[in-house]
Amino acid sequence: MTKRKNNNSIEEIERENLILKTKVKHLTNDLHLTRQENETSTKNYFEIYSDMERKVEERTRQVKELQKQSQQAKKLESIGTLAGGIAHNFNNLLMGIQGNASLMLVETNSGHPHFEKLKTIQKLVRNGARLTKQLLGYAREGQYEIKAISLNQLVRETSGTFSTTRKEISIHQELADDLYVIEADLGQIEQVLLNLYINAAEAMPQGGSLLLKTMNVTHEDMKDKCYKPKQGNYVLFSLTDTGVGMDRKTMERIFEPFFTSRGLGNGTGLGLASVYGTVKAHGGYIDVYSEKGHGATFKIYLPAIGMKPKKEKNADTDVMKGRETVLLVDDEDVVADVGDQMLRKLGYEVLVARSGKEAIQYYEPKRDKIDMVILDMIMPDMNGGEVYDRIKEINPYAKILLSSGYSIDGQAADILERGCDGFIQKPFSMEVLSGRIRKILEKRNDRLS
Amino acid sequence: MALEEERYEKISKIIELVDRSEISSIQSVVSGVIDVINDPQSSAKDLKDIIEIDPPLTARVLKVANSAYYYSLRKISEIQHAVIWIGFDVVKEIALSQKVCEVFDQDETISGYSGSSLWKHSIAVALLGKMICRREFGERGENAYAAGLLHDIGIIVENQFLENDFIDILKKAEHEKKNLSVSEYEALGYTHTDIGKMLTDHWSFPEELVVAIGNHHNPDKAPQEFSKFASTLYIADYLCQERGIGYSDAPFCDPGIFRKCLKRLDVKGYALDLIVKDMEKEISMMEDQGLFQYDKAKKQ
Repeated sequence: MTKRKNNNSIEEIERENLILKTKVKHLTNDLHLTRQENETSTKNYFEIYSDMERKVEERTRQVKELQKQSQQAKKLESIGTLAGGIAHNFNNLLMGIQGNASLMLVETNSGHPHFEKLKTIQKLVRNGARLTKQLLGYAREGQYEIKAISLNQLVRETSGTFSTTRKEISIHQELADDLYVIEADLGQIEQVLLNLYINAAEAMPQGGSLLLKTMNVTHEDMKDKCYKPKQGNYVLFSLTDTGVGMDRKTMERIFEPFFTSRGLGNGTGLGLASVYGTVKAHGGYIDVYSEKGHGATFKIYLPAIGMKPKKEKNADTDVMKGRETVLLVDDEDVVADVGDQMLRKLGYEVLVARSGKEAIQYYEPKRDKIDMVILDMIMPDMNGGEVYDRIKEINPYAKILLSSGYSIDGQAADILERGCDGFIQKPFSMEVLSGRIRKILEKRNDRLS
Repeated sequence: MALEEERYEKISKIIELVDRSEISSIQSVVSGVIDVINDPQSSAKDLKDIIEIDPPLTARVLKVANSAYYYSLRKISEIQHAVIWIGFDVVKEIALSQKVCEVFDQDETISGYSGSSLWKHSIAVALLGKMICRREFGERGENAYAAGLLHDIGIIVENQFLENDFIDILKKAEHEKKNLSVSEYEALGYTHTDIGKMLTDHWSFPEELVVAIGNHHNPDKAPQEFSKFASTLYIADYLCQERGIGYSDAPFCDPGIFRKCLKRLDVKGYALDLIVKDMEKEISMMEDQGLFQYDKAKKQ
């Protein structure tokens, strides 16, 4: 019995030993695996962690970049606002000069020795106004405004401006009479033309001549090109210079950004690239023909919109008089005074208000007497827009001509859309002013009847 | 041969149905986690991306990770924190089980079977399979865990797409005291192991898993290279049925096959007893923590 029991215990002890051994094996294996897992977990955690840190860095960099861009944009915006403000004030000054010259001209007959001088003053004022227009164009930069424009007029204006800066270049124009209208951003097309002139001038450092042509064409006339134009009518502008010309290799690369054949420092290499970009953005095409030593011709095709332009009337022709009563609203004394005199010279009864509030005060009791209001856009306290609304409240049939030293875009366009009768850009001559007034006064008021 | 083809056709049709059903919605996450398990290059970031694409799953993983079962010392509010506080491998397991259990949501009990009882069985087999791999072989056993969770997926498919047949099969097995697969074969000409095999193959799971799931009632027929893995799954399945943990589809299984498997793996009965005891402890702890409650909470 005892022996058996002993046997039993030995067996039991052996069995227990076995189980203990197994437990040790299990725990050792488990421990080993747990250690491994701990390592991979930690390693993995730090991988995720550093991945997130990278993301944070990346985002931070992006934010900084955006901040820089927005600062740059703000800077440009403030320069734009500044330029706009200067142009506005300058136009008011020009208005004073223009108005006084106009008034003197009316009293001066053409034989008088001062007559030509007064004409010259008027011409100089127009040149000054063109300068401010460019300033306003810069102020507007970035906002594209597509409208119907006459390319001929634009060519005349820009080449006029350009020729004053490069006397050694003679400019000839062959502009088609009944050129189609194009739909484009005025400022951008202006820039295209100027860039082409500058490029041509740089090819003619000793001077030379520039031939500018415009004509109506269709896609049929644009066969044999490396591009396939869309069907339709196009306006062709071509510019031929008598400069140094270029070889085929240069011609192939001429529209690439930063490409310049004139050595570093002589140009940005961006002018023609931006020409190309703008023309493409307007759905147009551009070609260049040149031979080394034989000048170059650039041809730009811009899609035309169906209509032909109204005959471009020379505004400086007749002065149309009238006897109605006009309320002139302008906060600038120079403009108010000269405007008053101009209107009186034209035969009108004039009331002058020097603020928006005054305008309402005058208008309210005399609403039946006042035939028309000439309203300045930008005024302190109550601006043109508000005055417009108030007058229309008092009399929905009131006729209002908007005037501004700023261009027609933006606020003025907004008021015009609300139904204003017309817009006149300062500085204006007596002839232009008389034309605008007659046009409005003689228009039948069918919109509200 | 003709019989084989016919069977293949029948199951293919069912798999087409599965593809258009909710069951297939678990495929991408489950395959994703299985890929992470089987690709040594993959990282916790990959796992995190897989889990976080599924916000309800993310919420459940975090809830489980925060349960007392995982002894986390901190509140875990992000998957990457779970990786460090309870471990990369544990997070893989939680994600896998939380996703797979979405399809075990049939609550009604028929002849001892319910979705939740099968789920408990599957979790137990998964846990046991993994523990055997770890303790006996010194391996991580993550595929064994996945195989355990999915080995009876064929039953879920039958329950959903052959519902009437399936109820008859269950009742017949109960009355005639047969294993479920015998009853299945008599009624359908195939069993849930065939469905499981074809479905996981269709989902492009690793071959090891496909073979083990397809042969979890007859590991001897598995090709040599997968024999060890299939046998481990068989042993885990067998022991869980023997202990009556969750639903048992094969109460009358063959101790002969079991002994052959033990021999093949060179695992001793007493060693398994030790492991099973620990597994049972784990399961009851999980039960205490309410970790089998998912089907009651339902999907959002």
